[in-house]
Amino acid sequence: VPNIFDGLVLKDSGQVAQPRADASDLTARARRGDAAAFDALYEMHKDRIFTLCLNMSGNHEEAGDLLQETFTRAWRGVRKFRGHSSFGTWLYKIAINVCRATANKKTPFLPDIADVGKDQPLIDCVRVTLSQLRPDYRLVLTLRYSQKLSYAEIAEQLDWSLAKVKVTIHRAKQAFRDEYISENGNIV
Amino acid sequence: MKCHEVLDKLMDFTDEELATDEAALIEQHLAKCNACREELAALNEAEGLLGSLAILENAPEITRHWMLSPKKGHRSRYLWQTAGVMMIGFIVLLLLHPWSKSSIDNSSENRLSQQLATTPEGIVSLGTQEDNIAPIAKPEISQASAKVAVQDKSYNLAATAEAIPDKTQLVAEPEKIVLEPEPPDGIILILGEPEEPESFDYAMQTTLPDGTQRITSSEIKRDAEGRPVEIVLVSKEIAPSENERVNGG
Repeated sequence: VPNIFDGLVLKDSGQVAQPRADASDLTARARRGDAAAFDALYEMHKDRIFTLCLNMSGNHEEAGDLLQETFTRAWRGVRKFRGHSSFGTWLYKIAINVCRATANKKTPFLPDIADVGKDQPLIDCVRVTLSQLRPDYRLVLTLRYSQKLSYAEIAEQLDWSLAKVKVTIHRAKQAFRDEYISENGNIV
Repeated sequence: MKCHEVLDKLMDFTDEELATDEAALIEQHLAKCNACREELAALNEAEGLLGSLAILENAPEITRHWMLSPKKGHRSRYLWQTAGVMMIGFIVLLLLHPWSKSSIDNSSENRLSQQLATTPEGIVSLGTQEDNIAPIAKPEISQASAKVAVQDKSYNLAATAEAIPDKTQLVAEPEKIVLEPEPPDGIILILGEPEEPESFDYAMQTTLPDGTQRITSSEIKRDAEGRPVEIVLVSKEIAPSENERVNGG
């Protein structure tokens, strides 16, 4: 076995995942008010939560605010976190609640200021289309394709039935495709 | 298989979640139905585009206020340590001050409360005792010893409390409170952590000079979100004669 696999954990699916040996320890320390441990958890989750916020809110500035709000609430509440789910799942619920409050606003996606003037990348076209969809469509597509949650995980996060998740994702994909074609003329 | 049945199962079909025979039926239908093939192509195209959402964005720098402010646990511990000191002082006053002596009749209950202020940030800060304690005429040092029961353990407590005149404030320095045996986490054990309401429940039993047994216990009242808003102390006295009767003496 090549040395490059040292320190990595092979999951059953064959995918290579980073070890999460200290996640539960960090969570336990954060629950006791250890700010450094919470900061380490922030480092572990910030990009995924920010991406969730970006896809839900439609712009970088607001996504930064949502990220801040999510971790502010998490820090306040971490001492009450009982560990019935993983810290990541618990954090998701907070982020989703934070994002839902703003998701009712149908704001067009605004590319990052750093990207203005450049050719619009595909991801921005996708986000522009996403930002035009209904909030529940935006949410399920984000959880499914951005956060890679399974149908069952989405059902758990949203307190929906599995059937409702599947139907909503199906309809959301159709709506996304129609909206994308109306925005861009065709599918690349 | 009809078109609407195929469309209902198209997502499971693309996710390869159908049984082999059911998937075969859909494949047969797709082979001869142009409309359903187009629908499948549309979903696959959408799937391909949405796949780009998997790209993680780098989070911007945000204010990590948990690193800037004093550690939450320490701040909370400090606050609740202070709360513990104040409550012990409160009890000491209850035990020794003439004002409180007259306020409790034999076998009666006396309820005193300590309001807590909760800030918008959810940080609990202590109110003052101004509402609860009558002005004290002169500086005095009160000393008390008592047996404190915390959950299943009991501790001998000795405290010195200083009453500051006019300010109606009772101060007891943490180092002047002695607990034997020393609890593993210090004085905080008396009140526990705000998130663990069960550890707030404690009782103090004291024998007064005339032999009266005084039992003081506390409970925390919380708002709808579970934040502590009020500490209520309940004192009950059992007269010596009654005490002897209870103990069979």
